[in-house]
Amino acid sequence: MAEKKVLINICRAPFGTVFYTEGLRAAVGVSAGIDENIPTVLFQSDGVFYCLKDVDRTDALAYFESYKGMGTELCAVKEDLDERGITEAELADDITVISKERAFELFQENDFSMDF
Amino acid sequence: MARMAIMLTEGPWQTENYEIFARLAEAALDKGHEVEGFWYIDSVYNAIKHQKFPEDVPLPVERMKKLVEKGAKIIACGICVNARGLEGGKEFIDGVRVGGLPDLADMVSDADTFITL
Amino acid sequence: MLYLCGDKIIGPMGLQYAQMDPDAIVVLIKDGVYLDTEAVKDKKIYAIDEDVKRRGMEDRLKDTADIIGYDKLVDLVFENKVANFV
Repeated sequence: MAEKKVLINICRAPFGTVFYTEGLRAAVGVSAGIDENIPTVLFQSDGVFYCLKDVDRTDALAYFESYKGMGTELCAVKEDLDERGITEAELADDITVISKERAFELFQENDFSMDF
Repeated sequence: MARMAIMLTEGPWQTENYEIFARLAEAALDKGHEVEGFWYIDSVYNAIKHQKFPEDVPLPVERMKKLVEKGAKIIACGICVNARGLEGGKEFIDGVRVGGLPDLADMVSDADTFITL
Repeated sequence: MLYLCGDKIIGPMGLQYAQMDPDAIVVLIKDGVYLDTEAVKDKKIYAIDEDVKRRGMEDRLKDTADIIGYDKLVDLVFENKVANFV
């Protein structure tokens, strides 16, 4: 048994499929074991639409509460925001905008990745 | 021997993922590795007995049964199971255990590689 | 790092990251065998034989990818850290 760093990679747009919310749930889940693995949530491609500040987070509120407690980082890829014409002013306060280069580094730094 | 964990998120008969799961898991087992599967979202339907299909093709559940017999450990997400009215997996084949996200966490901790399908 | 690319929606993202990685290994699986790999042609590219053959893609991939079985994929995913784009 060993603590792992896990990148939760949310790529699909909300709300047409459940992948966004199940990914968010998995991020809480991977930290729920004996080892308390460390998740990081990365929104990219159409997944970045979930980062809009007016998005309805009702079905994931409990997960966001957990992230606060765990200090989980929530990141969105700038290039993917730009491609969709989304500005930082439109994003929720808890989202950190990172470069594609930094996202690449996240893949290298984490032990595992899960795509949703 | 090493340990492979595979998270499956798709059900049978809709996407190819259950077939990929079966092929990859079988190949790993045949090489003497341990395989653990976490079945999430619609993939829990793969475990239901009584699957029928008009043509003579391998049923998803039969392929999964073979993996279990070869030693694969499979855990189905309990919230996903009950959300779909599957009543704690009472119609599941033997060897597929209904669990929870802490099982996923332990699977992650113990795995040497992690694949999502 | 090994980039497991398995569909047309998120697979291209895996190829983008592979481009940034001097030691990238790309594995095309499932509908990933349909991806345009021109941008990663200098990387090691594998494609899964059953997935290639059932799609009739063997000729189209013969110059770009090494066709491998699931047994070889098992070795690769234990030998390399895996980024999933399946």
